[in-house]
Amino acid sequence: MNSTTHRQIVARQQADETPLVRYLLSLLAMAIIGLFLILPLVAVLVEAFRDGWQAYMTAITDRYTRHAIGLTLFTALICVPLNTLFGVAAAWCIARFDFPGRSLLTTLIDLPFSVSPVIAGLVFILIFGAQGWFDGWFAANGFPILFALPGIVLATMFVTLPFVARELIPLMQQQGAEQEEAAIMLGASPWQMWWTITLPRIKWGLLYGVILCNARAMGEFGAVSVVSGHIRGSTNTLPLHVEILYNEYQFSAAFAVATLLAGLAIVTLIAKSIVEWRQQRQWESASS
Amino acid sequence: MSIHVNQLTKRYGNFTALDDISLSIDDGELVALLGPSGCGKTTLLRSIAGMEFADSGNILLEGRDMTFEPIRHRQVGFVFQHYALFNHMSVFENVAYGLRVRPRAQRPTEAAIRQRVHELLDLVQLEWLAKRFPPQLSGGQRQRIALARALAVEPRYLLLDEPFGALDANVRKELRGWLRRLHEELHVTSLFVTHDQEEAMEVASRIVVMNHGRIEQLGTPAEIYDTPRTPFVSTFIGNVNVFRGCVRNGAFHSGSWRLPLPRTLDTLHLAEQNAYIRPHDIEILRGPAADWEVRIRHVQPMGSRYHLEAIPVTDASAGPGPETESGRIMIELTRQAFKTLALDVGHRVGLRIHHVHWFHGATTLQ
Ligand SMILES: Nc1ncnc2c1ncn2[C@@H]1O[C@H](COP(=O)(O)OP(=O)(O)OP(=O)(O)O)[C@@H](O)[C@H]1O
Ligand SMILES: [Mg+2]
Repeated sequence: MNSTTHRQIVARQQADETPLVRYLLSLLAMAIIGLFLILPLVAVLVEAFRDGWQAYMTAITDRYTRHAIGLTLFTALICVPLNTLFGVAAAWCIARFDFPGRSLLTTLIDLPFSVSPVIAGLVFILIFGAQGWFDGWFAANGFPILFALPGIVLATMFVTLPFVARELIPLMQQQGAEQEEAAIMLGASPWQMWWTITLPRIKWGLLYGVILCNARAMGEFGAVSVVSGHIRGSTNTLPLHVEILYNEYQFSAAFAVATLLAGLAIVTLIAKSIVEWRQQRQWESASS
Repeated sequence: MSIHVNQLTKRYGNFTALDDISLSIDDGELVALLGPSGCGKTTLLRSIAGMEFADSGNILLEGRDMTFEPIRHRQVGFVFQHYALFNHMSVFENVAYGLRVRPRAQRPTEAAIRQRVHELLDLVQLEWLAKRFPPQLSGGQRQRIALARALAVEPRYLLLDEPFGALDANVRKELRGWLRRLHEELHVTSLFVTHDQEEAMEVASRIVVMNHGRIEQLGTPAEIYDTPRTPFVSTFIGNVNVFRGCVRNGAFHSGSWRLPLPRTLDTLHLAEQNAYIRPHDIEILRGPAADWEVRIRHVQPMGSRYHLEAIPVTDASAGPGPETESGRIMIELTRQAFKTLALDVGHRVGLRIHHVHWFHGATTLQ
């Protein structure tokens, strides 16, 4: 559907509702957003500063907090590029080629979305745990996976695997291969085609997927919680650190650290809406 | 720069998209590939370009076997059915693309690229659009930019997939003449797909008629129209009345109708034959010297010509009327003839048949 008819339909639907109904519905939506989104955010901020600015800064700059921030950033730094690479490759294969097992791959990519993160973590325990298939071997050779960085990275990778691919597959399918074929017909090498045609056309969708992937990589709790072992100053990511502080009744410190994650969420939202807006504009200009 | 296609066969699963296709196109020719939707035109074009690989048979460009050569070595320019312009690049960059992606050693200088692109935009008369982006162009403009882009790399062969398919009738007409003049100027060996017979007749020096993945006939527009080799060609190119019947005692019989045959056609004796008669090969007579009798049911003025629809008039005693496709007979007259005869709906008139194509009954009428 092109954007003009879409706008017309929206306009017609708006005209059908009486002003009162529209007003009430908007109010209801606002109330729900306020109750479930704004209020918790405000609560986090209020609690974080309950013991004053000094206490906040202490909690944020605490040694263990700093380590947790570092670990979280490091994990994201490994997972996001790898999953971007995987997502682009998978989307490319699925959208451009017909091969045996194509629909199976499409389904498998969604697996991390449909499995509870805790279960995902437990699967890694099963594979690499002391009684598991492999870890005895890895740990014996000086490279432990569970309760160490590799486990955290693996769990995060698993959970964030679908984000980029999911974003790109429908986009690339809708765009079709014709412009790429045209580039090849004009003498471009596959590599030139990728950089000059394919990438520029998917860049906003790709960025969108990367932003979501990053947010989840930094915020993942369940799967990481299972495989990390919560070793302070060693295998504690930010979300786990918040939980530990909370369980130790250091409420304001817990909320102070939580503001970092909340800040990440807000930055992500802003970045996401900017990218969405750009993407929308690109589509509109492409379909007019 | 000739193109030879040799017994090319292409299957998708157990569906045969191209069935033993053989054709040759000479250097500098402009040939039209004509056929109904789904008959394999795009598949054939893509196979020649190298975007599709056939199951058997081969493709020779300038005498060299190119069947398994990659696209880049074929020097084929391709204009896609839906243009496939790069929406994120300006018109200028679109046309320049093929030059910019060349290996560094063969890449022209920036100034040379600039000049070449402007020449091409000049050629397609769209110089003033160089800075625009494809979504800001009309369909006809996009089509011409797509052509300029394909020509930028100086292809030896030009393949055009329904170049005017998505345009309205007036723009099509204009671009058609333009394409023919362009071809006269450049002399690139060209093959263009269309499902519009008028377009094929007007632009091409030869026409390839395809149906169900096979070539039905290959010839000049006049050959295709005047001596169709198969019933399909006869019905697909221009209008035609089909009369089912058989030949007996030196005459063609369709129901109770009878058409005496000239001596030369005696070989048809006893064969199950159908008569294919063009609307303009039928003359209307007021007098008794007619072959058949009809009543006019509908008159459609079409500018310089008149299209008439008539139904057979038959004696109840003589048995059923002729077997035609629709029960109606199409007749085409010049405006002059129509006025002279002072015809109108309801008139009973005689027909004189001037020319018939004969096709064997068993292979006709799907
Ligand atoms: N990738 C494919 N897989 C299966 N069947 C295909 C594929 N591509 C084409 N076909 C089939 O091959 C036949 C020929 O297709 P083709 O695109 O060559 O038709 P065409 O003559 O160009 O038709 P049109 O005038 O509608 O463009 C069609 O019946 C089509 O369904
Ligand atoms: Mg086609």
